[in-house]
Amino acid sequence: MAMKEELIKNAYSEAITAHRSPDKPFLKKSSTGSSEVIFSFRGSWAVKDWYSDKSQRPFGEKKINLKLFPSLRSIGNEEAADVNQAFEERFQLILENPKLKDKVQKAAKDKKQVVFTGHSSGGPIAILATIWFLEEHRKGNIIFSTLPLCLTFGSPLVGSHIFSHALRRENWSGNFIHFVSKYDLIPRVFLASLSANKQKFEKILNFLSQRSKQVPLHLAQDAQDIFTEVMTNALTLTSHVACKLMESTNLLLETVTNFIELSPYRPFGTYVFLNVGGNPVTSDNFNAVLQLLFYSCQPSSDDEVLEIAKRSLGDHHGYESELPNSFRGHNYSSDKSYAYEIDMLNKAADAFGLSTSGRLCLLVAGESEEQKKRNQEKVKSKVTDMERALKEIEHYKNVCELEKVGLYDSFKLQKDQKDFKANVKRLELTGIWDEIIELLKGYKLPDEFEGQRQWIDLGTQYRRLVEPLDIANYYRHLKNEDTGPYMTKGRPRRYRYQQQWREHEKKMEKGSSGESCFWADVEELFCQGNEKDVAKKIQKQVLQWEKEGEIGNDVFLHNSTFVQWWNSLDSEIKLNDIQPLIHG
Amino acid sequence: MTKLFSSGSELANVVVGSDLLQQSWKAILELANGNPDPSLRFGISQEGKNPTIITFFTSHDFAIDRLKQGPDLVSSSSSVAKDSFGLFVSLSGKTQFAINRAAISLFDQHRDKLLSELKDKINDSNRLIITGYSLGGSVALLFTLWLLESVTSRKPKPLCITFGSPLIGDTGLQKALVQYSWNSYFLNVVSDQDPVPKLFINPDLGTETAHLENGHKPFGTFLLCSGSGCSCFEDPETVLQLLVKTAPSANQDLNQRNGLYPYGNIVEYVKRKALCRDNSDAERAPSPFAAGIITELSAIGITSPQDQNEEIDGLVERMEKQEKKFLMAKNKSLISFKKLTDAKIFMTYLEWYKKASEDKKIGYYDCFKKKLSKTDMDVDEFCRRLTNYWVDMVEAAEKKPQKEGASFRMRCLFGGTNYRRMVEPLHIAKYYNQKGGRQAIDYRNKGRHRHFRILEEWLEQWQKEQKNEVGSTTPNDRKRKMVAPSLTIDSCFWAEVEEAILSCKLLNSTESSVEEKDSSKKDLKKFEAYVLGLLKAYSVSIEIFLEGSSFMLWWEDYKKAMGSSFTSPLTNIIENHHKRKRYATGDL
Repeated sequence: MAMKEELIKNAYSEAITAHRSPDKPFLKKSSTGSSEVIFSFRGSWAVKDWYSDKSQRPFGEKKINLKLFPSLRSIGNEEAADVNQAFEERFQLILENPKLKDKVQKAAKDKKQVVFTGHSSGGPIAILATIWFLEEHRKGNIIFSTLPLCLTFGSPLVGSHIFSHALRRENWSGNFIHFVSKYDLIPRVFLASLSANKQKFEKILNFLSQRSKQVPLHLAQDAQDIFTEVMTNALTLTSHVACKLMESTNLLLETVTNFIELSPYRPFGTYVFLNVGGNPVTSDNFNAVLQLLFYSCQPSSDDEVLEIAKRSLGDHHGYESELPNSFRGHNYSSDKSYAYEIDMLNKAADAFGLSTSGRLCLLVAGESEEQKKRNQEKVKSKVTDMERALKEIEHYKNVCELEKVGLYDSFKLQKDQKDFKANVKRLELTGIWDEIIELLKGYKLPDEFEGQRQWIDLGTQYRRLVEPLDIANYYRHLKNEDTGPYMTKGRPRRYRYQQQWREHEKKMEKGSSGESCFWADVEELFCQGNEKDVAKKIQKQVLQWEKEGEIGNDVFLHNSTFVQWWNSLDSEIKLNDIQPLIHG
Repeated sequence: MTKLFSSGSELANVVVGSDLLQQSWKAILELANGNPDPSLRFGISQEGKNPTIITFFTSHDFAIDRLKQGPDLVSSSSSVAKDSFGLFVSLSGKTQFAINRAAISLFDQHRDKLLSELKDKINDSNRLIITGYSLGGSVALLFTLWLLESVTSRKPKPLCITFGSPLIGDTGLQKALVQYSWNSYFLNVVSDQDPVPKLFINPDLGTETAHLENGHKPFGTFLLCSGSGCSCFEDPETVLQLLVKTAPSANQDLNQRNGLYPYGNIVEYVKRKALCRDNSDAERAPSPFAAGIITELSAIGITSPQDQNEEIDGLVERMEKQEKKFLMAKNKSLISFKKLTDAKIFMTYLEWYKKASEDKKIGYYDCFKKKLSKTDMDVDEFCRRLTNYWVDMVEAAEKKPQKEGASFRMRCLFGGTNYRRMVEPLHIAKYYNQKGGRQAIDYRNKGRHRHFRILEEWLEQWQKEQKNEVGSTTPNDRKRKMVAPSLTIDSCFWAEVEEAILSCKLLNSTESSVEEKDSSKKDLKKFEAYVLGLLKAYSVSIEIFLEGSSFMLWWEDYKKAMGSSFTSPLTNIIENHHKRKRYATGDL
């Protein structure tokens, strides 16, 4: 995406202007003739707007409000993102005012390019606003002709690694550009926990609110203390992440991790490092950016610490002079090959003059992303096997139907060789999918994976054909008596993952895509007795799925477990719409 | 990942950037400056949300004195050791190892006091750090080992940090700790100028002779500190080499220390150093791994002027090999995914084979024994591969320390029991095919593979535990309904049948003596009672009643041998077809 010089300059000036209007929650600027509308958010210099009073956590984080941001989670793993509580609270306040929504709505109608921007702690508000409007677009409440952009300057970190994961999955990651000055402390401040040092932090924020670029003598020691505190924590954090990426086999790391508090915050989107003494350095590899946040302002010796500490505060307002350099020589290439990525990281290391450790950490960040791609290739190579096995099970299903015994019941009885063969295919497919799920659990596949049409469709096809077989197997061996009902105790993880992928993609209610596992509910009702509401619900859902072609006709064969169960129902619970469907 | 990286510097940064070392050293200082007990001092402290810290301290003079008295290793197998090593049950049960005399005798001396005073205070689930200085560190190591032995369900695991402690164990101890993954709880902070940690190392150890098995060996992770910074090392041979290499001229002055070795200052210093750029030159390193090692070495003051290049290359090569070995072990667990799927598929094939054999009216035991068709040959292959898989699983479970192994065993129990009941009959068939002949071959004691016995023991143990909770032994309804598809519960049933067949043959043969015939009759009566018991408990699969099965063939022989007027409770069930049917439906 090519960035226009004008846009960046305008965004920055709007962001700074917003600071100067403390009574307005946001500003809107649209110049005639330009196709952009810029919304800027001001920052706050009160400590409670950085570390919320309501939070007990050392880093001021909380689980994100999924009602506001339903996409900010890892779908299969069911892990919601962490977000800075103070920032989320401030954003929610602004959202309550309908003015913002109206103005953005209008800009969208006029087919303008909407840009959200903020400097310092205005950045997180811009970020959350952008994500919120992207969610609205996804739900269909607002139609943008081009998706909104987010530009931040010297913004602190906002959320956990799930931000990066989820935004990549939704293909929104490219819409976020963060400008960071080489020594600026604020983008690094949440790598540490200053909640124990609130007083010192308050003094620093106070100084920053005056927009001066020179640190006075009386603040020098505090600046040095805070800088050292932040950098020491950043050292621990970045080294910990690097150890994990390097696949360190030393188990002491696990033991020690139990004794230390690590920041949950991580970068996401694209970062542009300014003031590097040449062309700016860009990266969208969030692990590389994390390492750079530490190594780029690492002092060469003890003597340098005070100087760098002072600059770390002074440079926070020094973006204006650096911005003109930010577009020179930059090409946002879409070439994402391995060689290119490694080359870019090496260039970054050179530009910053990184130490050997720094270089190695950058390198491993690049390798880690490459490995994710390699894992995906390996998984892709199994697709033909998978499709073949699925075809055979499809064939089995047809044969069963011809013989007037449905897929589910035929498999449960295991009378013929064809049932046995289907069992073998079932186990083969299980092996393939379990490996995929294992990779997803460790975030070892590219973030886009769970959003890709190919996998969602394959997963749904597999689930619809094979989960009934797993359920039949479960109840055939009476495992429900040993372990418990299938849905609560026996359901393999892979089906949960695949069901949630589909539900997220189609924006369905959680748990509603249950067309593959209703057999389990039927079995339970058959065993334990018919609870009225549950029985009615199942019948209604089955009718719905039949209408939409999501379940096969073999469900309604005369001898099927489902029909037998239905026949056993009391007349007051029975839904007679099912009667005409029964055949065979 | 295809590229290998060395993470010693990063691990050191994590440790040094946190305040764990400062906390521990502070506790040691307090103990040092407190009550002036000349021998071992110990204490326990806890503030607010911080972890509980147990501290051990000995003064330098005391330590040197003791170490001079006891510089040798005491083996776990020696008679002297029985009492003192008794605490380390898990370890001494499985391997032979040795502990430095000074360390173990000091620990012994104060053991009762330690265990009684400290044990109660650490029962809660708070995080725990055990730390010590000099010989006190050795006691801390032993105390942590005891803790790991006795309280294995404790979460989170303890962390043991020692400062300037001498080596206390040998190769045996180090290997046992690695096997149990217990070496991940130990961090030894060592300054390159401190002579105490280097006491028991032969300084003539070059790279080649470093593999002497008899000397003191390090275990756990070492944080080596120098004027250039610090780095972490785990491989024991590497640690030994580096301890020798760094500041080799510092092994005098043992007697001149008056206070503590200044680890407090050292820790502060390396922390400030870690914050700043390192100055290592790894431009010409051939790989990221080598570059990492060069950085780690330069952090402990070993840079590479021309003449040392070979040694450093050798070091790099060694460390790379070590890392690769670790990684291979990790990868093994990934491959096992595929093996698990294969194992499940083979079991399915066997289930099908069993069913097909029943359709032939023979039963899979006999089908396999007679090897009539190609399918029977294929089944042999599945049987072999399943056996390999389960032998590995059982071995892996046994390698784990006592209580951690228990949960692993639980997870394998049902799959393993299913496997045993399905596959052991096939082993029995093979065994009796091979042996043939007249004498009693006694599969159970002579032919049975170890892993089957162990799987059976696991089940019995679990059932004992269940019975203690539940207390009932009647076959429940569900069992009755399941008699038709189930497997015979006693996996050695067919061995008993084969032995009975042999006894029958003895009885019928004209060559056997009267004593032999008598003992055969006794054995056969025992077998009858055994089968009756199984039938009453519904624990035999109905396939034994199939026409072609060895059991029915034995029955015919037995009737012949005992004479036409023979009756027994068994006759009732077997001869009476109705009763047989009722057994199948669970109604006997």
